[in-house]
Amino acid sequence: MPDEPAPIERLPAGRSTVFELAPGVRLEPFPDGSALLLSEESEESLSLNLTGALLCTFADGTHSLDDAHREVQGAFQGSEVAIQVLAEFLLELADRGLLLLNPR
Amino acid sequence: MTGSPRPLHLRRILDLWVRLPSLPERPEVALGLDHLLSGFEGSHEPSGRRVLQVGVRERPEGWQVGFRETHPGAGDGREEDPGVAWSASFTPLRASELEHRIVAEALERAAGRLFIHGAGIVVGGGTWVVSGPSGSGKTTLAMGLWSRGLSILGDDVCPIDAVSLRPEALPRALHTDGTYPPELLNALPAPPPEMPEGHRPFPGPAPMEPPLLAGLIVPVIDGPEEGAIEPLSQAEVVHHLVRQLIRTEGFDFPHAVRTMAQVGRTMTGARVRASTVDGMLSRVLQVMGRA
Repeated sequence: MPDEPAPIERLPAGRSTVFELAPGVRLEPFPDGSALLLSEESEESLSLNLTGALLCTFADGTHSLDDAHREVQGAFQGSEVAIQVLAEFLLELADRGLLLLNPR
Repeated sequence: MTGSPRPLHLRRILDLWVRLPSLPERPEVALGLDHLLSGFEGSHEPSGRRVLQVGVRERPEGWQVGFRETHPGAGDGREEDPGVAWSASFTPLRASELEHRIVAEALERAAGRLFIHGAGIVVGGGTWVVSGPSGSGKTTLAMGLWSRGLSILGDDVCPIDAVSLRPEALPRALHTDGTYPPELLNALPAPPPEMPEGHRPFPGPAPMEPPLLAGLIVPVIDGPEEGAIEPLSQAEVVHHLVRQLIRTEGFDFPHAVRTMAQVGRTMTGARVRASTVDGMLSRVLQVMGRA
C-alpha cells in the first residue's frame, strides 16, 4: 500500500492554499487565547487551543497556509510549529465543513 | 395516613407557581409528590402572576398529566380537565413520575433562562458547575461537597438567567437510587416515611441569590490517568457548557452560545479524573481552592 500523501500534499494548492471560514461559521475568541469555532447551521462548536485559534484568525480567504505558518511561528518563538501539523488541522476542519480551502 | 402535615397546594419552580394535584383517591402519591418538591418554596396561595395548574386523570391506556397556565383567582378548580397539553400516558401512578413531568414542564415554560445539565455548587464568591452526562458522578459529588460544608443549588439542572447571567437554585429531591457511599447518604437529611424510594430531600436551604458562575468541573470516573487534573481553556469551558445545555422548546443556539460565551469568559475549569469517590472529592476540592 502506498503511503498516504503528507498533509500539505493533500491541500488543493499545497503551501499556497488559501483558506476561509465556511459560510455560517464564526470564530469566538476568549481572553486566554483559546477560541471556539461555531457553526450556527449545524449547531456545532469546536474548541481551539492557542495555536488553532491563532491559525483560524487567518481564515479570511486572503492568507495562505505559508503566510499563516509564518505568523504563527512568529508568535510562538522558541517552539517549532510544524507546517504539516497546521496543514493536517486545516484538512480536518475542512472535512468537518467548518473551513473552505482555496476558495475562488 | 401518617401524622405528616397536609401537602401544600403550590410550589414555586423558578418563575412559576405550580398548583399540584390534590389526588383525593391517592393521598400517598400527593404526599410523596409534596416531599419530592419540598426544597421549593411552598404556599397555599400564589403571590405571583404565573400559575401552572397540574391535572391528573386516568385513562384506559394509563395515567395522564395535563398542564394549563392560569391567573390567580380565575381557576375553576376542576382537576379532571385542566386544559390542553395532556402528556403521553404512563402507569402506574407514581409521585416520582409526576415530579419528573412537572419539573420538565416548568423548565419548558420558564422564561429567559438556559439550563445546564449539571450540579450547581456555591464556593465562596462563585458558583461552580459539575457537569457531565448521567452517571458521571454529579449527584455523588454534590452530596460530597455538601457534606464538606458547601451549599448546593441542585444536583441535576443549573438554570442560568440569560440577562443577569446569574445561576438559580433548582432544589429538587436528590435521586439516590444508584450506588452511593453510605457515609454520604447518612450525612443527608433523613427521608420522611412517605418519601418515594430512591430519593432524599434536597439538602437545603439553597442560597437565594447565588453568585455568578466561576468554575466548571468535568468529572471522569474511569479511564487512564487516575488522579489527573487537566485545566480547561475558556473555550473548552464554553464548549462544554453549550454541549450540556438542555434543549427546551424554542432553544436558540446562537443566543445560547452568546450567553455561555459571556458566562465563560470569567470562568475557570478542569477535567478531573478519579475512580473513587474520595479521590474525586479531594481533587475537586483542590481545584476549587478548598482542599
